[in-house]
Amino acid sequence: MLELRNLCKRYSGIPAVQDVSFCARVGEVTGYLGPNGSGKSTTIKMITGLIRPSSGEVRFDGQRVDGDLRWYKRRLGYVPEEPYLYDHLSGFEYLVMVAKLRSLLSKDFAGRINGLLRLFSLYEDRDVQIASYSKGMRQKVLLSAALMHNPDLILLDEPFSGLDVGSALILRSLIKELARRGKVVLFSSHELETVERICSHVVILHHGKVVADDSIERLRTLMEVPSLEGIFSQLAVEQDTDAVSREIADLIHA
Amino acid sequence: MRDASFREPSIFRVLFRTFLLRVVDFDLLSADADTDKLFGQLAAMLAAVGVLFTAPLILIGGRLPQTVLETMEHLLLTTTMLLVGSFSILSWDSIFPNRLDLMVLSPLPVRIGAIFRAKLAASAGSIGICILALNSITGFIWPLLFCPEGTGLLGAIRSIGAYWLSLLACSIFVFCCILALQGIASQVLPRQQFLTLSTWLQMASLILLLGTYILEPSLEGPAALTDPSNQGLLACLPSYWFLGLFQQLNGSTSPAYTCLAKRAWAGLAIAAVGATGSVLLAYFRSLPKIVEQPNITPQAKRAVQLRKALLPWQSAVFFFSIRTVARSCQHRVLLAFYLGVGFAIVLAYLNTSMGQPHAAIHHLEPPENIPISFIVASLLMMCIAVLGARMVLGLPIALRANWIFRMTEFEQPATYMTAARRSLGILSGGPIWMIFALASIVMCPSRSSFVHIAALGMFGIILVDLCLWNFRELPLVCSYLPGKSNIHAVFWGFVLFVVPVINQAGNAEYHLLKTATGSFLLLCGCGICTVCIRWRVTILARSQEKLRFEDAYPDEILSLGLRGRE
Repeated sequence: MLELRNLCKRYSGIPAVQDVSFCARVGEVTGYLGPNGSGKSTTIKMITGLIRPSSGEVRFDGQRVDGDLRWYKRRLGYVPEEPYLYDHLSGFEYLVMVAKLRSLLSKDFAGRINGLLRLFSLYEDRDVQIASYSKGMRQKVLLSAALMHNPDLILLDEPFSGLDVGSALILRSLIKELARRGKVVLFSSHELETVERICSHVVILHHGKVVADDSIERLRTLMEVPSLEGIFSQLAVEQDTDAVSREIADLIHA
Repeated sequence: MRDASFREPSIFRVLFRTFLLRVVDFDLLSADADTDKLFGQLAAMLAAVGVLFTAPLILIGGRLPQTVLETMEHLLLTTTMLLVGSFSILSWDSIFPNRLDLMVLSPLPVRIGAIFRAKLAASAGSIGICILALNSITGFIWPLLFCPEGTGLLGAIRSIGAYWLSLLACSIFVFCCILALQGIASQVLPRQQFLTLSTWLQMASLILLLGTYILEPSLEGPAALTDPSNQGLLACLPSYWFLGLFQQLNGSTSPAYTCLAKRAWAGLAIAAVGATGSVLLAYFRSLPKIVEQPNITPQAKRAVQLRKALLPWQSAVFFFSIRTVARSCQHRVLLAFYLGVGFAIVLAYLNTSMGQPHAAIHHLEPPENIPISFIVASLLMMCIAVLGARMVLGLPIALRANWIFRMTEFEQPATYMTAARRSLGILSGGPIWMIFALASIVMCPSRSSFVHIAALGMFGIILVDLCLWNFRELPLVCSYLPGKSNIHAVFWGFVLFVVPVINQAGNAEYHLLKTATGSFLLLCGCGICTVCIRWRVTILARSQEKLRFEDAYPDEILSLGLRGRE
């Protein structure tokens, strides 16, 4: 189980994340939602250990992750929001590099990498430099890199970004399958429809604070709205969207 | 349309400012980076060259014979040409818009011509700043001595004007020649081949430039300039053309200078026309290709994988370093630059008073003794290559992609050091050692050669280990903090301290190599140093707990921690 306890992050005294606490359980896909700038990616980076929290703690399987960050990172698979990769390497070279950095043995990773590339329809382009890859192809490389070592905790920050319909459908099923096989999956996205289909439990963040942490079913019942979009609009959208869109149209026509 | 034309100058100014600042790749910089400091250090280094050229003048009170003055005129012009040439070659890629420029600017109502002019102006502007820094002292003091006798204040003003005009002309000439070379190459070759060959072309140009600067003979003075046997050489050395131009502008009517000045004007016109034509052609023809094709060199077939000798994570770091330097144009050019500078220092050493006595001694020595100049040259080159490769490996690539190394940091820094050591060795010491080993065996296949080869190898290992002192950074992934390395201090420290020390070390080695006992002592000494330094470096690396990915100022006391960011 992944557990966040009173996690805070301040940049030059300005809070980005305030007192965030929630749990992501084994066998469950936890959706992590919030509008732009709400602190989602900051939280995820704190969970990965890429940035240190100002206060609070992250626990995995009951242990503080900063106690033994190396042990924790070995069990973690992470797909970042932006597909930052080393463009001068080919997809295959990049994945081999990641496998070696993760100390996987060559007899193990060679087959696994080729298998992942084949299943993600990247095998034909495996020796082409990443600079030539489309956004979707880069996303598939990131997914392969995050999953190749069979992690126990999977953090997905906008994993559907750039994927074509077929790949998105595969990924959707894959996320559910991974949860079924006992992984902890934390999934951050703006695509509410996808979140609704995949996640059993959602955490909604607004202005750096958790404003909802429950199952989608329970939230629907509590808030008396039929969809996750409605829940999200009530909790995290402050503006009257129709009015704002009219104002924008008026402004550009002026 | 009218609005767009009114806004054109401001668009140009915005683009110019953006491109001028692009001399430094901001994507590679640390959060604490202070680019002003870097520019300041570069300017200080160039101004110090001017001080060095002017200091003897102050010491001897300004009374110099005509031959020395003519030599100095030529030296100042040719040094400026070297600076402009080196800078143009290093900033070669910034003359054309890159993919990012076009992706960002193409959707905007910005004319291609404005981008082109701003790019060119930014390149020329940065070179102009370097010229000003270099000539800030020499450009006003030396011309006062160059003016003909009895011409008074007007003569002095004319001399200063002639000097700066000649500087401008020779700088434009070199800049245009390099632009033309790049433009022609980009037109003749397919884009991907051009990208591959571009670095080699840059390396060759740099070596040609430095080699010419060091090796060109001293032909100043009317006697040498009119000697028929020198005419072929003078036709190939543009620095003498601009010496002629300066003399002509300064009032000289000597036919030798008039002839050279004519060459200078003709050369300038040809270079300008060639550069304008080829670059314009390349500019408009290459733009679609830049957008359509990735701005990287094509990859060779899959590389052979190293399975033995390195642990998996070490192998990952090693191959990442080698592949990056092999494929990144920026890193290859920088490495070529350091090797070119090394080559120039070695040539300069062999040409100057330090090297000449050794050459004289060598004629008196038995043939089985390896020449002292060869020993010193090999030690110097090894030193520069290792330091250069260390600098290159310290420059990151795609900083935002280094998260993968952060996420997979499972080992202590010391365990990654083997990979860093091998990368550094293979990129620097290894090739230099092989070249000098081969040369020494061919030149003088004797005991002294073999002992020198072994000693040179150990010297290379020691240098590589010293570069890994307090190892905490993986090659090519840690952000770059300009100014921290104090390049001006390193440069002058190297020239004024390391070169004489190596000269003395070479001298000592030469004497030790004469006897079997001396050779034995030399090998023992080198061996002990190698083992001790390796041991110390390993102990220091083991004391580090975590790798560092963000370069930072080391002394929090000096900075009062004000730069610290949460």
